[in-house]
Amino acid sequence: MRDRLKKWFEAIYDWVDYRTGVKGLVREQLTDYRIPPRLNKWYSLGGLSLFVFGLQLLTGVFLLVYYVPSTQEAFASIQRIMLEIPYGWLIRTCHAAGAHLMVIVLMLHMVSVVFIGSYKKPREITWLTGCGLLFLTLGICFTGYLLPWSQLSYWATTVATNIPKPIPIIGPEIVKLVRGGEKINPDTLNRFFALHVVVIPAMMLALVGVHLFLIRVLGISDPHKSNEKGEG
Amino acid sequence: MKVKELEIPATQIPLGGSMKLEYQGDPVILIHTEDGFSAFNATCTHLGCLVKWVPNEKIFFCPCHAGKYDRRGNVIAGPPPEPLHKIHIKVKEDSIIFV
Repeated sequence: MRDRLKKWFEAIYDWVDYRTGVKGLVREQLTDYRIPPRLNKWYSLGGLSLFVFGLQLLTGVFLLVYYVPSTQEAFASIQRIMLEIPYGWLIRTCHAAGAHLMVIVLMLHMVSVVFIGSYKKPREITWLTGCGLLFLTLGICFTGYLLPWSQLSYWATTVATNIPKPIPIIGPEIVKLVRGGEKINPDTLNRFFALHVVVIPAMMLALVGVHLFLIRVLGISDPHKSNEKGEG
Repeated sequence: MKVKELEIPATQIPLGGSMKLEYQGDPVILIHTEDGFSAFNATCTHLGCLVKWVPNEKIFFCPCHAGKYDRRGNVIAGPPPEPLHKIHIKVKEDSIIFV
């Protein structure tokens, strides 16, 4: 049985390989991919943040199934997730913990990149896309916090959206723009929902793509090798 | 154009008590102390949460970052940069009128 499955798999793999050249790609990028010696735990943080991001996407999709983005029903739908849906509490707690974890891991990743000096030429674009990813992560945390429409999220968002207010002339306008009105209102919830589940994740996926592409193009940064370019 | 007046019966707020209401789109807190009746915009001047009246301490308290104001609206503790915004009221016989 197992042999037959293996045969089928190989036949399909060959069929795909003939049409895409995927075998060569797997060999170059996965099985025969060389990394510098002396790599330590700090090098795992980028991969770890990608893993947490994947976890957030997965748990987020599960939550999206039961969450209702309206001021009338949002809180009740969260209560349903926490109390009625089997293991809903686990998924939501993972999503909340994962959000914290992602910020922590990204910060540590950034610290290690600064200390190793791997943001330097030729990796500036990798660094800049990473900075963009950090800000998008903070933005997705911020927009997600309002979604339960609880007292905590309402007032936290009131406080946070009030921060630009003291900016001369444009401050109050920025506040109005972010809230979609004078106060936090149903439109604020809807726009934060759209940002949280579609706009920011899509932007993050695109930036993660560029970030990973550049890492593969430039190779892993090795601080022990001076003046290197490309070969990792 | 006549601004719509709001009239509250004074008996609704006993001495030491408070009342929350909305006036011209703003959240308002009305208190009754030994100084008489006074009304403030309940929006904390720090970052916009709503303050509440704590009767036994005779202060306004903002739960978001622990800003405290005395019964005249002056800041006594915490981060608020300015006093609570006072709202003018008139006490006429047995009712409080917002003007």
